[in-house]
Amino acid sequence: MDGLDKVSIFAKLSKQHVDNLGKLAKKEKFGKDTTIFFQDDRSDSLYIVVSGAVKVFQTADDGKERVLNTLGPGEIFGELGLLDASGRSASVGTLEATEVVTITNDDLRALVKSSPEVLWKIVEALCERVRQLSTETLDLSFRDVPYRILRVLIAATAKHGQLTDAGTLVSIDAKTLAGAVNCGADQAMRVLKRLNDRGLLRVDEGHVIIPDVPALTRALEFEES
Amino acid sequence: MQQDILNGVRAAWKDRAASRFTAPLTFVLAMLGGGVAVAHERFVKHNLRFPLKYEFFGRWPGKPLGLHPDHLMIGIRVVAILGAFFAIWFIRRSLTEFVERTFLRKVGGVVQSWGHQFACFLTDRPVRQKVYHSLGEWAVILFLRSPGLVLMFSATNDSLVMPSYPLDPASASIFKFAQVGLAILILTQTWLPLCGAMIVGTWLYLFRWGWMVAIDAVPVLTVAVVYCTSPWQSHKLPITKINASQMRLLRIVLGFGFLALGWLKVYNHNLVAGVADNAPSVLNDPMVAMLMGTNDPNYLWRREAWVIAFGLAEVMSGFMVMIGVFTRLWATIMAFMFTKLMLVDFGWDEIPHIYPIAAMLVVIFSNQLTSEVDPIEKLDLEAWRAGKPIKRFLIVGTTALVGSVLVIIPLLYLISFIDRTAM
Repeated sequence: MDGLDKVSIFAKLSKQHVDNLGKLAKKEKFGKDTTIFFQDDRSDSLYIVVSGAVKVFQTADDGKERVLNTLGPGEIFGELGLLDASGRSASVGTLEATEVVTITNDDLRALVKSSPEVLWKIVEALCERVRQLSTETLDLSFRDVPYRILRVLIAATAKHGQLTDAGTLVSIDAKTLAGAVNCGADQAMRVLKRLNDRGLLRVDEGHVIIPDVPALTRALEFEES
Repeated sequence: MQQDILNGVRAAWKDRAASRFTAPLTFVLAMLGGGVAVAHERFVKHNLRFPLKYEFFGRWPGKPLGLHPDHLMIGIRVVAILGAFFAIWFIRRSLTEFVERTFLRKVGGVVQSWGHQFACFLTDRPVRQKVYHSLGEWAVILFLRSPGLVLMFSATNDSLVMPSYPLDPASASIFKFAQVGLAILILTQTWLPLCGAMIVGTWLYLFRWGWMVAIDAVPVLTVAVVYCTSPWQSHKLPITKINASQMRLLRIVLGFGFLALGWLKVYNHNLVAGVADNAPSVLNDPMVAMLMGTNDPNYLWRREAWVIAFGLAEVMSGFMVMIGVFTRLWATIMAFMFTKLMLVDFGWDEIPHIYPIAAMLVVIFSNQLTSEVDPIEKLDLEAWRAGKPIKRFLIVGTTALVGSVLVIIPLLYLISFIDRTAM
């Protein structure tokens, strides 16, 4: 399978290892708004985003969604199941048409035995998640909603923004943003409208177009001060 | 004697570390056992309109297990259904995973989401949906208060809980006031542990009129265990949830109640056949007909086979709820059956069935369901992960076969030795 050597967790593997892995890995394509796996499902595979974007979210008993993260090409998800063999802690759904590579836990365990550096890469990804959660906790405690929305937008732009003639297109809607910053969809929509009025972005159906990403980053700095 | 009981009550009140319902339970038992209550209610039999063919229920020398072949076949059909449900339960994860990955993922969107929720519902996994959650909260509110409504209803109808238990006119007013008092406590959610203890006490009191009366009332203990495990400050709390341990107790007691009731129906065939004689529409239930193997009105043993099938259907659903195998599915079937009995077959007199229906609704809409066969499932999952299909087959097959046979056949065999013609 082509392109595996470009995925960060396999970057340090020898060509033979990557080739062996390519034989075990399976490519899967998902349409927009498709759930790849649900919270509590059996954890049997690790996923690597090849193209597109996904959101990682948890659903409370009353159906409310909390978006934990959005991921773009090269990023991995479903790694927790590899380590603790428990059910999925969150659901993962596509924000746009997405291609992923899946490797079963058994294959990955065998790979980790022969190339322990893969495990370090997975641990690095986990550390990033923990750092991100810590930042989010801090934001939730001390930052207001517009700041949090800007931060999520900028992170999503960096991860899975697509360059178009009109600017950088990010597949994210108000509901997903609201779930990511823990506010109501109405409030998220109001903030987006305000940013839209200031010319910092344009809200379209199911996505946001950012004409000038550095300007949006400056807006975040302004909100920060 | 009375002094000893009072001393016991005082000691229990003093001991703060004692269980939360020791004191009220002792109090209630003292009230009931001390001869204060002199009323007696009668268990009204539903009279047979035609005699039963009693030989069907007895011994048939030379036949397998000494049972009438049709009698045994009903038992075998129930065993087969139980075994199938057991087996499907253990492989339900593989099945739902296959369906979700093969079909639902390709569809995506709302259809995938609803399909997943439906699979979760069928397999007792949490259903995370707003309306479902709201219905669950509403079901808990109804369940906790429905005994109060039933008590009020029975008090105005000179009966104890159900119209089947009419009060003796000589002491009816004492019981009516007691019922209204308990109903007020329940409806205002005051001292729920005391309410629970009073219900347990009343249930124990029923033994004065025989074990069959008490068995008939086992399902009322379902709400009692929830009350007993609620906080004393219940009147200050908006209780809209039942925690996991309460749900487990509720499920076990509710399931056991209907399991016992089912066997009581098999045992007390005259009563059950009498019900059918007085409300013939119950004979046409498709699930019971499936267990009987026929719905032919001219079938020689129709009423007798119906009694066994009707009783075992209740044993089967009660057992499944008790051990937590497809709990929601069986609770839904039972809620449907009770609603049908209340609205179609028996009518207004059975309105107190709103209580078991509420209990079923709590189970149906709960996201706290567990199963008593979880340890076996763990073994099965380990075998699945380790890629040992034969071990998996042995675990699932043995449990399904042994479990379902043990629940039905031994008791069906033993009861056939008891002559119940004169009951």
